Amino acid sequence: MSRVFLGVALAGCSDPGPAVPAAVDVAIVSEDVRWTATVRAGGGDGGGLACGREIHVPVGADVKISIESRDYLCIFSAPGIGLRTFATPGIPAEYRFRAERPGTFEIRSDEMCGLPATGETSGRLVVETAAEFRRWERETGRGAR
Amino acid sequence: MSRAAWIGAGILVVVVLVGGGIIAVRTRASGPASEPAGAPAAGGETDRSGVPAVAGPALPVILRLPEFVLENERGESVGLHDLAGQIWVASFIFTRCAGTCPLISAEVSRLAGEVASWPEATKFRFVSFSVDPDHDRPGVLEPYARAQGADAGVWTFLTGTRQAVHRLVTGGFRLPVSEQADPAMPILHSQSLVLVDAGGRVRGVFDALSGEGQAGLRSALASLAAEGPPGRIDAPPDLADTDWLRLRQGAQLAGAAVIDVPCGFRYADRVGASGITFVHGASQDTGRTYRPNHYDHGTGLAVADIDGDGLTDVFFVNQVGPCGLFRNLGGGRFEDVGQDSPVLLQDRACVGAAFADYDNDGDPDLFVTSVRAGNALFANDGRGRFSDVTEAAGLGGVTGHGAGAVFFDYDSDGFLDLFVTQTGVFTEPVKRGDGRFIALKDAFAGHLHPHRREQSLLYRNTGKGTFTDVSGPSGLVHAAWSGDATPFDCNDDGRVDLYVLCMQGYDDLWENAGEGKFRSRGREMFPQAPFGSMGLKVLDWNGDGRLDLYIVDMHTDMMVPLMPDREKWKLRPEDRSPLELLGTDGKHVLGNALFVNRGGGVFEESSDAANVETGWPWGVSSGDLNADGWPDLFVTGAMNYPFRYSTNSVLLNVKGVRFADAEFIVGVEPRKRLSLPWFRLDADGEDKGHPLCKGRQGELTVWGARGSRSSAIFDLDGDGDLDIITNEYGDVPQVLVSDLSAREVVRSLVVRLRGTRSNRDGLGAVVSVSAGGRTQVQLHDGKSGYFGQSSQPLYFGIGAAEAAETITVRWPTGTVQTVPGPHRSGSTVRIEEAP
Repeated sequence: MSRVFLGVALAGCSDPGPAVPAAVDVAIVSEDVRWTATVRAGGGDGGGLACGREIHVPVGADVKISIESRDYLCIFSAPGIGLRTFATPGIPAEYRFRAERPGTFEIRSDEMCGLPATGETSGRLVVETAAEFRRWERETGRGAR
Repeated sequence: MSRAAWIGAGILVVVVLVGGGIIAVRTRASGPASEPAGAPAAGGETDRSGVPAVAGPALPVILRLPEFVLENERGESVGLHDLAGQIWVASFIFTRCAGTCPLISAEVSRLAGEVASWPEATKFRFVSFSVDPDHDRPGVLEPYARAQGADAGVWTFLTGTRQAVHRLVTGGFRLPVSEQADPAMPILHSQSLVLVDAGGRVRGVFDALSGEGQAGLRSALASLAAEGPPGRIDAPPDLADTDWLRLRQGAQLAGAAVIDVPCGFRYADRVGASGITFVHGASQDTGRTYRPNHYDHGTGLAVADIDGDGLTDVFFVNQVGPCGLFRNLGGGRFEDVGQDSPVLLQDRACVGAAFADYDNDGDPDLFVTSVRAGNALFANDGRGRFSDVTEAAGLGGVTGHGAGAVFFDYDSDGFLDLFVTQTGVFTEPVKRGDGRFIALKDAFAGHLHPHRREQSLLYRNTGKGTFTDVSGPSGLVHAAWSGDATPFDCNDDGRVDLYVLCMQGYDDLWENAGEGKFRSRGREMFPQAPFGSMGLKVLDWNGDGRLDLYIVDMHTDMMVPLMPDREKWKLRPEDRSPLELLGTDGKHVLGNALFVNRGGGVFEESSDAANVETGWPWGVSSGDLNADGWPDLFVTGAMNYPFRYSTNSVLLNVKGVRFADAEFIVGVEPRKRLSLPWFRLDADGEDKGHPLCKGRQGELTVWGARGSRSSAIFDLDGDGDLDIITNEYGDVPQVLVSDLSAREVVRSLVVRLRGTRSNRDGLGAVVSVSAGGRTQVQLHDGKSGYFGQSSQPLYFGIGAAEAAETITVRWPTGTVQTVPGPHRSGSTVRIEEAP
């Protein structure tokens, strides 16, 4: 508990403000017909923020989505951001776009020629202000602890 | 102790003499089968409505009936799955029986009358199996049913071929039936009534003629009715939705009057009457352990007159379980002659089959491909008995993912050579419980992994009973994801070329350069071809004398969910898979292709103008279904579990201008039943973690859509019109019998070729028939359906003409032979190659 308080306090002392991370990397991994994502903002070599199937990115960022499937051939689609690509084991897929406007976009994974989609194959991408994104980062990171 | 053994020990067979001189075998259960727990003794308690009181534990499951399809008193095919969801009582009788049978039927009649007043009355059915099926045809059973006062919706009478019925009684119900020479006592059979639950499981066996048995059955019926329905999951959940089908049917029927093609005939599925008892088994990896993979492409079938009796016999290829070999008895009836035959190949997942006379000895031999377990060549002894000559012929040692096989004489030496496609590695070298290799989870990305490619095989026939692999020396080094191929001279140079499909990439055309060499010219001659080619057929569809090429594409239909209203359309360009998945430059026809031959090796894609787009297609067969002198098409189309139902397509040729959709008009669609039990799960046991078991208990049956894969068109009942047999995936075949000849005079010819300098089958010959001012051209290639090559004569409908004026054959050697007529309608013209 004390670490959480300390984290909040430090964050409050060195508030990064509404600065927009220039680049956000999203890594999606699909396995056994379900997928999860991690988000890493502002570069660096860290492991990223594990965020399940709800991905947040700030408006104005250049977003790179890397998709990897560890078993099945999956079709990832998010029509709202122009994403439609295949995740093929051994052949990572990548999609880049600039998050121009706020909004919430469905991301869906369908197993090609496979079983019907389930709750674990759909998620969402939220494009929001830098401040909202920072808040989400903090809250999600706290939840991860 | 297994259930089967337990039953064997639990049933005591007693032979009793009864009045009228007929001997019946009385089956008396001595174990749990006869004394279902909770069954009251004769005269037990009943409630006010006459329903016996239900008490005690559930009835035991004695055995599970195998799938069967027989013929009812109205001539309709009825099978186990048609009875699913109903609780039914089976009885065994024959109409000539003067002994126990009238008593058995009287008891069934009495019982049916009683339960009609029970609250659960709609759950019950009664099924009487004739054990004298050769006599008890529908025309006999129908008046017998009426005499019993049977309500057709409640009590049905089933017959079939003697072999099919007796095998079901002895092997399925495990009850005795036999025949003896004494005309007064011709048939020995059980007088038991067998209680079958809504899941097709036997739950009790009761003596029909004893008070104890009768009371026990009534109690057991009440007990089963109280059990509630068995666990059922429809996959997809809207499997039973047929609104789209009715809409399409309505539209097609409404347009039947204006399609300008003879369509006043109907097909009916007579599998129940045919004696064909083959049941296709699907890999577990297309069901309980589902993963998208190439097993779902199913298996082929091939037809040939294996015993020289002039009738066309059928070989069904199986994936899990034995293949089936059925001899045509004439009149639309067949018998299983595959017992103990090496052609059953039940140790492996077979895929394709080809009949051809590779040794020129006058009978069709058989080649079968398989997944990882080797292909097999069987030599025919002329009487329909086959011996395995794979190793001796030099065709052993192949362990790839075999697919299609096609015989053709590429070097014109008079002996049939063999081309075998291999799909590519889509399994692991480890087997599942069903004995089949485990499919890869990313099988459909196989074309993106070069190391998974497998090279197809070209074998040269040495003429001495052996084959030599000449793939390398010939230059025909084909390593694509191929399932089927067809030989034809596509550039009019007199040499037979080979068009090879690719189901995940570009097809190729291997041009025969002569002197045993081939070169790849696919991209040059067919720069735009389908991405996911599955089936193909060469035919002169527009009557210009040139051979055209029709290709059907299934995998493109999988790039987005294919909705029913999109089946007749090409894929929208924006829906096409990205290039990184295609692994090509993307210049594909986005669906089926009809390459119209303009001569000199020039082809023009005209599929949309000709209206030959279809949904989820697998294979194509061609034949003049309405005998009007224009070749029609039958295209199988389906995906089975976990997809919705899709139709097969009948495309009637409108005088070489276009094709008209006619599957509903001619009665091929809709089927009576669109789904079947696909697999079972034990939600309380070993399948507890299965996604479909979440929140469920007990035994669950998952139902999936029915679907065809391969087909053959031929006159199976000898009445002069063309019928259709299919190989279904995970299901019984369809035996679609045409009534064209019963409705009108059918004018047609059959042409049988015998090569002397060419291969004896005359495969590769081009036959032209001139009749009524028109000339029709057919390539004698044996290709039909999917993964199949057959050995059968050519059928020419001649429309209104009474005879053909001439028949011209261009033999594979290049010799042209004209046989002047008149060749009368109805005749079989045998043409031997002139020396």
